Amino acid sequence: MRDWLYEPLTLGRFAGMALLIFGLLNVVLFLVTYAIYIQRKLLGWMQSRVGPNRVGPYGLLQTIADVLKLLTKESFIPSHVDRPLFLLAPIVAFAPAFVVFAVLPLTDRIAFSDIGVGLLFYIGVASLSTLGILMGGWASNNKWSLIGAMRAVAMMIAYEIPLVLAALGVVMQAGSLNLTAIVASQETVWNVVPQFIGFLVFLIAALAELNRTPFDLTEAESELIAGYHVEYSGFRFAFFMLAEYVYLFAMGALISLLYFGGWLPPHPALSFIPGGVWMALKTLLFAYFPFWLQATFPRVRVDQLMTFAWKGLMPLALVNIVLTAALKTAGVV
Amino acid sequence: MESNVVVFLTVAALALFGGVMMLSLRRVLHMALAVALSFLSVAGVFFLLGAEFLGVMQIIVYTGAVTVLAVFGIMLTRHDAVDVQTARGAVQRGLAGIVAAGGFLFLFYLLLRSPLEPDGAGGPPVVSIGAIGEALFSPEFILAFELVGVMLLAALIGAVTVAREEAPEADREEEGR
Repeated sequence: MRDWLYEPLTLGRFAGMALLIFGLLNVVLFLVTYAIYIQRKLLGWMQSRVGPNRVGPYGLLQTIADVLKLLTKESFIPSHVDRPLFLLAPIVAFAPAFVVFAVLPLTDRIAFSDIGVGLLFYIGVASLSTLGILMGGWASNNKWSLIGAMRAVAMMIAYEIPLVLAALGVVMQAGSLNLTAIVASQETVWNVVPQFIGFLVFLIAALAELNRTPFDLTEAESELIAGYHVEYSGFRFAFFMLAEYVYLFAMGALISLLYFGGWLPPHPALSFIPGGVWMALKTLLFAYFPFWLQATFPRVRVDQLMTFAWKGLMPLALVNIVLTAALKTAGVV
Repeated sequence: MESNVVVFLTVAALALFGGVMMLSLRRVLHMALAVALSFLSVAGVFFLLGAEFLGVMQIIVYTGAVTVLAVFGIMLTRHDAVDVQTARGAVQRGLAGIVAAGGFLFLFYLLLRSPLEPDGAGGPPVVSIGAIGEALFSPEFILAFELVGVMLLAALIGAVTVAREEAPEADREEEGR
């Protein structure tokens, strides 16, 4: 499949690509459907409950029933909203979430693109979702929506900086922004070992980027009802929710590519298991990790959140960069 | 038609559409988002020209940061729904038309005179980010690069100073932002 990327685009190849992309979209939708199921089951077990268990065996069809319910709901648009932006916002929020998969290589053979600045592309495109949230929050013409959107944007800006600075350590070590090259540079030892500080900063900032507990201030149901999507219902609400969960998998894939060797096995002796399986396992682990936190952490306060990002994470990320530079100069890594 | 041309026409049309919408829309927030569409389409043109790094930077800096800042600025300042009626007489319209046409002709003339050659079948070569880095640290550009660094540092310090003076002494501890 990688060979395709370097050959001229014909109609046949274009159709093939489009089919593969459609396939990927379905895989992602399937993953999201079951992520919600697993989230509810995990939360149930951690709180001594059963979780969904009525629709289908073990409740496996629960999310599908929920999706059908959302899709068949009346498409309701409140009269006081800014109509064009209100309709556009869910799409603007969701589209980047799927576009970022273009630069995430799944194995050394399967990738949808191989551009030199893959990591930057992910960061840049992912930041476009912020615009969708801002549009939705503003167009809803509702104070909770607006406050939720403002919080979301303030938080995303604050946490994007430590996120990028932490990833810079990996980039310095690999000498490349191409995600395939970054994985290839981890043949001997995964980046999580030499870049442990960077990994911690990245993980925390990623949780904030994903708006997950303990940083789920944008949706804080006790103070903002539901944040930027209060006025949304049915299909459009589903789009916002979808974007959030798709990012969960994209971020899981990014963490495993940057710090856990992507499709490389933990030990060369285990290389008989195909790379795709390793990649899937690592991605799912990091995609489900936020659910554990959701059951165990309280929400932080908004000012603590900002202080933590600017005064805690950012200096730590800078220290990591200096350390990486020093180790690189000394020839250790 | 070659696929490059199709893609170029699409993104160019989107960029122009964003620009036209920016001028014709009445609400400030709508304008900001129309500009964002224009910025994003220009990033597409950069990608098409093989300037990956420039394209990504266009997305991060313009579509992401500048637009969000603009939108924030609009939201935090007072703006009434009432349109400000400005006088647009025939003279102003005529002058604006002359200036726009003159600007277009000047740019078009420069474009025709520029030494850019149409590329062969393979399209333009992709400029790697490594090459950009090497060029920035080459003797030719190193001084400009360092000066930009100093300027950014000065701007950073200035921003911190301005932000600090807004908060009264007592609130500073709790502000945190």
